[in-house]
Amino acid sequence: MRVSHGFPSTKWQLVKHYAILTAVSVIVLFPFYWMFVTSVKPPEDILRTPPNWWPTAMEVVNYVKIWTTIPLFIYLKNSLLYAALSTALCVVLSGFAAYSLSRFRFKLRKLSIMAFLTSQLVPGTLTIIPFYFMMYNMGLNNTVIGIVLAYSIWAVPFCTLMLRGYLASAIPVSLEESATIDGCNKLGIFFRIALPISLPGIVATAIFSFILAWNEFMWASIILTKSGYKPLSVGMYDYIGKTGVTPAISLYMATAVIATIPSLIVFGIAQKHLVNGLTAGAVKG
Amino acid sequence: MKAFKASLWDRYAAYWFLLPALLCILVFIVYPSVRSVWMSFFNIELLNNAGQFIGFRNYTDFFQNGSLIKLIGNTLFFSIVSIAVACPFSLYISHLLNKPYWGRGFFRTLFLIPWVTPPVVAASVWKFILSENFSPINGLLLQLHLIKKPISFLGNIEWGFGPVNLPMLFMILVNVWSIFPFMMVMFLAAMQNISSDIYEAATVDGAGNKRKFFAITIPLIMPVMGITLLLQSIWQFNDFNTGFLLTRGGPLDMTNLLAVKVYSEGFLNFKYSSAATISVIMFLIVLIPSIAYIKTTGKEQFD
Repeated sequence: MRVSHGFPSTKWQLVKHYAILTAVSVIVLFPFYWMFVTSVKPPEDILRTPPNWWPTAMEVVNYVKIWTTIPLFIYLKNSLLYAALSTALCVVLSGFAAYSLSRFRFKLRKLSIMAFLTSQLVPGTLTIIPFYFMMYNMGLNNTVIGIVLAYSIWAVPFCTLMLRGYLASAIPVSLEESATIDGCNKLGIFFRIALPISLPGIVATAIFSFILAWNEFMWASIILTKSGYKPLSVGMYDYIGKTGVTPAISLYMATAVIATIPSLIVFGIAQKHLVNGLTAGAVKG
Repeated sequence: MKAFKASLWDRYAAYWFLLPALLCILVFIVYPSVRSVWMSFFNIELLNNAGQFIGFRNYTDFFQNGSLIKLIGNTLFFSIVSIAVACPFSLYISHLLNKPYWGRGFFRTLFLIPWVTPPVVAASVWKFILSENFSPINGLLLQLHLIKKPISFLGNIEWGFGPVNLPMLFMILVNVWSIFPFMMVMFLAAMQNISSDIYEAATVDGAGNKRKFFAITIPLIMPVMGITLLLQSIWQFNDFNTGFLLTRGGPLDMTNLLAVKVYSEGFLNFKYSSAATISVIMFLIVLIPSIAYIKTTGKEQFD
């Protein structure tokens, strides 16, 4: 839906409009520029005060050296594995739950919605100490299962409510009723009717939980302490903790660039779905 | 038998669909939350794994020595000021992007980038930009002769009163940078939902752009704005990433937040009960906006 508000667009107003947007873009994107520029600066550029705004030479070698300086490949592989698995688990759990909450009326429905709403608001730190001990006692520290659990349970409440809103508005009940008459059972209806129609909503849920898991730091830092299990976020934090701001910062910034790219790609591919999914719950229309 | 099974499945289908997610929430969110409350009445530490029941002593200790009051003040200041700055800013940006000019999708995507950037990356780049010796901002200010020696944006301890200090203000700035995209996207969606007829009628009546913004746009997006601000105030109060990754609470606890304190008390000092106590206090504070949030969105969710 595109709305024209009848704004008179004089030339001066257009110039002002784009000037402001450009200025905001510069401020918003400056950290990314600085990250990239630093990642290709030769060591002698880093120590210069005041720092130069453009590198004197492009030092692409940082992007090669970083793979042997830290176990970057293992970090990347772990991050990808955890993000993919928790996305899968989150989509399955919240898909079923959202379907139930949007299609059926039952006794515990209100209470369940309350549980999801509350879980979305509870500080993660409220559960962190007992959760750590639960994982420890079950032997799930430094395991894939442990971290995937930690990631998906925090994404499930938000995703369920997001999908619920989507399902409630997207699927006509009459379609399901005719399927019931045709002899489809509830599970069949879910897979044959609800799932295909709500695919955009599911894509939104998936992107949301993927980015959440890829970016996550706190849970990983307590559950994954062995270096072979660490995801990129924790690996990077360890690395900067060891080096601080020194010439090695250019190597670090190269890692930062590598860590940001997957998030941006996933977001770029499907941002329309994500934005629609996020706003659909709050904005009815 | 088969028919019976099928009817049992179909009859309770709602529960079967819901059960896995609900069970996960009960086991991994609700149970540990309750367990935290229970732990806060004990003195469980690394070398005292069983702990003894000490009643409310964890709570009274914290409030007696005053350290927690400071952290509560810091956290409230951090979350409220972050939102107070981010809200008008994102409102203005979404207003700009709501105009029917070319490139709004492009700019919206651009402005959403900070939101999907890993917090570890964002915090370390900002730390670098705001550092004392390698900061481009300091470089620029020095070149323009506006300052004589570089400023340590995140380490200055000379100036400040309570939570109003240089490191805290710059931490809020970084936080605003990372939270404004979410608010912008919500506001923009709400604005795009307003029928153009209303604006046209207002134009006919001779209302200017400013008038239209304050008399039409703001009131009509109020419901969405209210929910977004409530949700953000809860999330910002609970925020761990910015506080931990940017300053880790330092210098001298000037930027320490409750969530960071829970983490450091639990996993660096190994005082589990005292960490649990702080987390319970956090929850009690955040309960107030949470109830408001559940009351406003609940109505919609229940139908």
